[in-house]
Amino acid sequence: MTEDTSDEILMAAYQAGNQEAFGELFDRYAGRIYGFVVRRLGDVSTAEDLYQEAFLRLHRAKDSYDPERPFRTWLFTIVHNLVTDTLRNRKRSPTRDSERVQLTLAGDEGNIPKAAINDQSPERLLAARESTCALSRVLSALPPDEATVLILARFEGLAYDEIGSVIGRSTAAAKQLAYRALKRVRAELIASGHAEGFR
Amino acid sequence: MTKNYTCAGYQEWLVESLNAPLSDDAQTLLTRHLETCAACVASSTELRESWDLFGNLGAVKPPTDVRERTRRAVLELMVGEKANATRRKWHEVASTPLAVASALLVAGATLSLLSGLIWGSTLPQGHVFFCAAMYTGLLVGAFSWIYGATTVNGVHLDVAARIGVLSLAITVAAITACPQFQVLALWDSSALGRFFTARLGAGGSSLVFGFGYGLFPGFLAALFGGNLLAERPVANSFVTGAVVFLLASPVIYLQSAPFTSGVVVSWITGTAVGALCGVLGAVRVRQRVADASVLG
Repeated sequence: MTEDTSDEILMAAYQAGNQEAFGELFDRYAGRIYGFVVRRLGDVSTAEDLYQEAFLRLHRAKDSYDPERPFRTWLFTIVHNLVTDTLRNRKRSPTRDSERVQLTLAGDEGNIPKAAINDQSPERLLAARESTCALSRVLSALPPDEATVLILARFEGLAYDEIGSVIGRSTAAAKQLAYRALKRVRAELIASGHAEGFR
Repeated sequence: MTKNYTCAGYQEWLVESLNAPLSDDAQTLLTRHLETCAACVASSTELRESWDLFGNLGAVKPPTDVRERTRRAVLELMVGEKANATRRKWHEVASTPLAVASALLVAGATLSLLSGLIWGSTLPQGHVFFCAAMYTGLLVGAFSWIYGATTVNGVHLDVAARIGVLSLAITVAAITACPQFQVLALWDSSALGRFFTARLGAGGSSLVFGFGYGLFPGFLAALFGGNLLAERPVANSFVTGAVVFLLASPVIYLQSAPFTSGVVVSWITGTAVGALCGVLGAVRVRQRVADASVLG
């Protein structure tokens, strides 16, 4: 197993019970899956549970993986379905959204723009933190498919045909969702007065 | 081609160009369009601004303990599966060919039985009836086996199905070795057998026995359908032992029992209920597989 080994080959080895192959896949995707779930849910504690469940689902479903299919599309389909199920359940027993976002972002310096940290100005740091919170809040409040498309495109670098496959829509539909999501994010941030914090 | 349609098409390219370079042709067309369309220029600027905003969000990494706990959970599952795979190996040997073979075996036996009924058998009628009941159970088992082998990746061969074929082999061996062994005769002479004969008339005890005989394998299929032997080894092994005993021990029914319409009804009813239970078992398998599906 080398860094050059493709995901699909690793997955085939993992299907055959190779622990090293699983370890390599895990190293490649652990952070990405976590990032997707956190950004999608805006809730760290639920995201941590889902993160583990996502890999358990991957494990349970590994025998159904078709090596002809791109691995990361298949993986994100599993995670997307898991998140969708969770959000559907959450609708039945809602908690306060504001708590979720605060839980997610409070004290997380990783989400503050680097330029703001270098500036060292307390006002600038505060503005950046608020803007970051606002951006994350807007992201997790987007319509489900728009949020998924935007996260997969912007943070995971998936192509739109792959994203369409993950959400079960056409490539064109995925692009339209991304277009609407970006427009909506901008409008929401301007409306809440946070867009300037990033410029 | 209308202006709106054209702009909608370009919007897709605008979105696509945010995270991947367009082809030369597409880029040329888009650039040319932007020179003449103020609305798309504005959209392009807005989309880029929104896109760039997210660049300010840092990477989100899982806490080390969560990450390691997750890795460990999967690795532990893999270790457990490896151990189970060794125990389960015998199940996986040629399950589909065995299913086909068992189906052919049962079909052949049933045809043999029917031909005996049609053209006359030299065997006592009670013997014929008993064989019919036995084949009923085997048929239900074979059905479950075939279903399991062909529809759920060959891993859901339920207990009754395995027992069916195994019992047939044991039965044949027992017939050869101990033709005098008459469990049904013992049943007829038992207190329960005498009770049913008294209540239902001649052949009454055979009627009850035949019904139970047809029913039992199907009932087991329903009860244990979908549970792998490897998953519930103690319970399934117990059931396996019990049913093998039941199916293998009453090998030949030599006692002359009247082959009445009541006996036929008993057999058919047992067959119907047993088959229904077998179907329920198969449905449970399907449900179980559906529950385990994660891709929807």
